[in-house]
Amino acid sequence: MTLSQDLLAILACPACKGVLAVTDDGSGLVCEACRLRYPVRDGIPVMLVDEAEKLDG
Amino acid sequence: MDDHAIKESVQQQFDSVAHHYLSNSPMAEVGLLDLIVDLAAPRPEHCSLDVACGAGLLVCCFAPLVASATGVDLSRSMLTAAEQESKRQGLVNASFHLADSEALPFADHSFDIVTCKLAFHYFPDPQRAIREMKRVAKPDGRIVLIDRVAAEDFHTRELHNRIEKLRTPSKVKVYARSEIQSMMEREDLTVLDINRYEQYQDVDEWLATTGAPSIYQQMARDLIVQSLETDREGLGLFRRDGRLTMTHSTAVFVAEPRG
Repeated sequence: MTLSQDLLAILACPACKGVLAVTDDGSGLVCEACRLRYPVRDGIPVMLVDEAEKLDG
Repeated sequence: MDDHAIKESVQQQFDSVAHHYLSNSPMAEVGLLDLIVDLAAPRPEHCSLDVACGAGLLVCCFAPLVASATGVDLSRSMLTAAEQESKRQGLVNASFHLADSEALPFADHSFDIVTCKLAFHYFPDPQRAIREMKRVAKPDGRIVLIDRVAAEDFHTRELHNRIEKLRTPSKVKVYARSEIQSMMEREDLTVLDINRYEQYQDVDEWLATTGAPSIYQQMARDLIVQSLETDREGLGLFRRDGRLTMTHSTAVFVAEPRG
């Protein structure tokens, strides 16, 4: 996935509207506050809370 | 159906007909797309968002005119078609995300232009969708909401919606123009202008598009035929070259966040 810096700046967690970080391998977007990882499938970020993966801890 | 079931139903419906929306649908009508772009007044430094973007037609219209054009939709197939179309056109500043119109994945005040074309009647909580559109729009931004509208008269509108539900069970409701305007004003949006746009479509073609079970299509057709003389559903029916034809009334709302 290639997300422009401009786009990353405005992308937000759909649950808390907080900032997101791209995972190291580029396979998802993480909201640290909600402990959720939004996957990227076929190059399209899946920004749905229902389909987000819960992070441990 | 609860809200979640409605959204799943909408996803499934559009996943199955994505191919249709880039070609021969009224969604692709150039006149309406041009009107929307004109009313949105895009500038090269603008960022635009199309909510429930479908196969990305409007995003692809905005992309050459703005710094970035973004689209969100609940249907994976629609977004895949949108990605392919934007790549085909060489639009490097177009991007697409799978997202819920009622929970947009963007920070407050991110976009100069927020559009939503012919999708509003699918939202289980349209008030919330408008709230989200306003939230992500910049204070000096512009919202252009486009939707089919039904008659102002309650009973006419109810009959119209009965036919719509038979054709598209996932459709929540086609609203009257005044209902949509009230919802926008409730979110402190100033409605600057409401344009009316009419499109004509062959009734059988319209009934066949969404993939509804044929028995429902037939029930809807029967109701329409019964209404030909009196137009009690407000569908603006007439015969064109011997074919039963209907009038889609579309309202294009232009609004700005207040104050």
